[in-house]
Amino acid sequence: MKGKPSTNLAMARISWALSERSRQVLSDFTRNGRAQVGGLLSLTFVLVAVFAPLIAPYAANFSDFDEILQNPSSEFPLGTDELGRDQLSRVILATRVSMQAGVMATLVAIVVAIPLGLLAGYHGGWLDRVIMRLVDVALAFPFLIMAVLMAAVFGPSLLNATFAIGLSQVPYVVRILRAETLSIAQEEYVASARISGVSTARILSRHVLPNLMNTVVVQATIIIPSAIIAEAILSFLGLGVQPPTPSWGVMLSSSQGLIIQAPWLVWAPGLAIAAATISFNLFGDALRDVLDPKMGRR
Amino acid sequence: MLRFGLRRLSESLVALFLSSLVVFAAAQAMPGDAAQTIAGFEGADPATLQAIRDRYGLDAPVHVQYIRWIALALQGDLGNSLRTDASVLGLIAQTLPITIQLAVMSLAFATFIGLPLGAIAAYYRGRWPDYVANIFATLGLAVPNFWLGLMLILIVAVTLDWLPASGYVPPSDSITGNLERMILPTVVLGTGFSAAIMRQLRSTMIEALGSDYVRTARAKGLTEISVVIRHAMRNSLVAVVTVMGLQLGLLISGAVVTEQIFVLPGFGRLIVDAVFNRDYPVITGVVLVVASAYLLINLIIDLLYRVLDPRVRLEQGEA
Amino acid sequence: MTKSVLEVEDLVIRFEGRDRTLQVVDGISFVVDDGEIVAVVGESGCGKSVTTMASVNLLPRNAEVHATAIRIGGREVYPFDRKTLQQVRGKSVGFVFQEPLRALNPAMRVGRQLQEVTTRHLGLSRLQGVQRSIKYLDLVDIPNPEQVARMYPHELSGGMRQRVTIAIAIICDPLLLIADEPTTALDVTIQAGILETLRRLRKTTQLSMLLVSHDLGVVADIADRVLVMYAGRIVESAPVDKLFASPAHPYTQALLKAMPTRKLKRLIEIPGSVPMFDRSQTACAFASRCVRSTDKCTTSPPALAEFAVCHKVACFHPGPDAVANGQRDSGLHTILTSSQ
Repeated sequence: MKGKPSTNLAMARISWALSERSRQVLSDFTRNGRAQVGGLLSLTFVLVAVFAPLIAPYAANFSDFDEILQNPSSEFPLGTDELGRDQLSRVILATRVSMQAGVMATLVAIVVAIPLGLLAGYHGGWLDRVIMRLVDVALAFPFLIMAVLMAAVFGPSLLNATFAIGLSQVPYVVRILRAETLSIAQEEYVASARISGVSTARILSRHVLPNLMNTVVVQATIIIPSAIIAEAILSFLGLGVQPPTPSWGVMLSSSQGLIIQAPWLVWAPGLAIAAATISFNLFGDALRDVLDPKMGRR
Repeated sequence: MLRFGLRRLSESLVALFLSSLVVFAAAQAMPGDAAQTIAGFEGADPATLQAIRDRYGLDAPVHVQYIRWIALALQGDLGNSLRTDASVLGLIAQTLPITIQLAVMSLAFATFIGLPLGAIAAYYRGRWPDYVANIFATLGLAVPNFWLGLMLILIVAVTLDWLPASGYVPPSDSITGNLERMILPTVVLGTGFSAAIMRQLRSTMIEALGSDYVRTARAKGLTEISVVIRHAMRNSLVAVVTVMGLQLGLLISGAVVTEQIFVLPGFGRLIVDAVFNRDYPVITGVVLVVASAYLLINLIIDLLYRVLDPRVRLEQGEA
Repeated sequence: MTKSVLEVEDLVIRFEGRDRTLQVVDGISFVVDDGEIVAVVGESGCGKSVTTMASVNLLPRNAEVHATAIRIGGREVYPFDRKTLQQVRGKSVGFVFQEPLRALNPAMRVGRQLQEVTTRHLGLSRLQGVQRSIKYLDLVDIPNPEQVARMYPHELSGGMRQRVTIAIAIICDPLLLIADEPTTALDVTIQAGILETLRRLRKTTQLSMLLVSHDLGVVADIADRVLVMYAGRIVESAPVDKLFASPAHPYTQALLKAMPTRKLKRLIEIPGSVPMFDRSQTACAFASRCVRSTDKCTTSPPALAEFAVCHKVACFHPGPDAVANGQRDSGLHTILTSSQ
């Protein structure tokens, strides 16, 4: 490896520490009961989302007007809705939307927050102040309001909703990453790298960023379940997924008026949302416990 | 304390200013020609449109428009609804009290349930009360509140017929009527909150109960109740306030959803209807108000920190 | 016969871990008499801190305490019951812990932390309690006590904080003050001041003290009698001058030899941090590290027995060091210092 000896030593130390730790983390994790349950369930949801079109017995929009509002039966395990569509299929297909929302919102949040947090924490000074003011502004707009704005300007859609959700998480992630960067930046190996004349970009990408990964993963585990619920809320209100695309939130919204005639239309999507959220929460809890019980506390 | 307060205030004002810029920019970006909108939905001839533009200064450069807009807003003029022509401010004034009542009741509910549960869970950590409380918290946080609302309506209102399913009665008309209709919404909105509070308190209190100063308190011979409440819990409240602050965003979305389900003519419904109807002045006005309120509440919370924990310094508030 | 302030008979302390139970204190007995300062010394992990805290059951939940008897001021406190303990703590026994910043409630003013003890045990009103607090802050040599009473712990220096904890411990005029490493977390210069304050308190108030320390310098400075503990057992007990002049147990001798060149500054407390070797009940705990050990030492545990007047040792081969005085027993020294 080319480079000054001190940086090489530092790099070697970090990569050794990281791999040693990763092994420990992995073994701790797979033995944890909550991790097993949460991980399994989360994986199930992801798989259902990926293979949804293959699993669902009917297409999302296949309407049979002879079968409107049927009770759950062997033909339609979760009944049908007011347009004669099979609920089971729609619930399955809606999993895609939720998983998409979860992943994309997290990506948006992380992609935006990492550079901001790094710069704010590492550079300090005026850049830090500017970024923190931006964070304050973002904090003034809770995800719903942001989604409202985006829907008003660009029209409601899943993409816009996801964006709004992701952006609304940015302030929290930035704050945490900034604090982490600050403490990492004070470590000796960073100081020695700086003195040796290593460029800022290299320091950030080689020394600081790998150490932030732990925190980033932890934050991701917090964001995903929140995003799932947030998407459901936004779709419920008409600010996200637009009918006829199936989404648990949309399904709940249309079931509202039919609650007396067809209560089963309310059960399924709600349970799905709750189950997905619990699974990812469990998984995230377990991951957090293993990585560091105190890390990433908001 | 005063210096801290002033500094925080100035930060909030800067953020407020920037936020208003964002809202203004969004408002400009919203579809529809403003002049056309004002003229009405029938196509007006170019001369009329131009007259409107002159009258409202719509041709003026952007920053002038912004200043006008802000000036009007500060005077309370947020424009008029496109649909009903009612003043936006008036609409807000009409709907906000309902939402505030809901929010306050939910917060009270959440606190009265969340705090004791959290303390019990922390104290009996690892034993059955903790286990039960944790299940409650997990469910409370994972179950989407709009689903909970629908289920409660199904069970309590429809099947058991104990409470009305929806609608709103102002307290001036009938206090019982008002409360009857607010109970379910309060439970729906407050449950998630109470779960978050309970979780945070439990976690912080477990730490506190294991701390050296609690050991000192016990070594002083103080009764367990004194130790738990006056020492452990008091010191854990800061964290709970933090969580409450973080949950505010969910409180707003929760209120919106709750009002939607229970048909309460509150602020939340105002927002949703405005988006549905593409009522841009209402949207803009509402967003501006919410953002400002948010900043204000965050400021209050930060000041509250300072009161609760004398160790907090300005740097900590930023870190 | 002078009354004993603290009597402990056959104290056994066990900690329940995840997979197994560790016996940390192996059945020790000792006494603190009225007006005396007894120091308990030993390496980190020998059980000295838990011994003192066990007397009023201040140990964490996973600890099991058994004893034939524990008496404070003649009053039986074992088997433990909550009410008795809550009456005794703070009133008959005062505690001073190691880290004063962590031992004080960070969000409560100093005066209040003092006053609540008086309200609890002496029934004083808030006002009376505060007045008494100020008086005791003065007693522990804190300047401007009225001002300090209104301050928060983090606003005070380390030495002041420790004085505050001492004031809290003595504010109800207890029989016994138990201090667990009271000076370890402080600078050497502050240390002297604290010790001076403790000495003065003993003189003026007839306060008895049970002091835990791994710092022999502190012990030499202030103690009347010393108990040396090793691996959960008392291996030597003697008046302080006798202990330093003619230590009888090989471990004590090794400790003393290690003293002049190095300040033993380990602060780790059991359980959980120091790896616990399995404590065999059938041998002398020190045998594996002792130059004098013979077969007898590895097959039966020595009991604490009279060696000289007021001087007890638990050893099969007690007595002055066989090695010439000037020469350091390098083997032992290395073993001991490497274990730090």
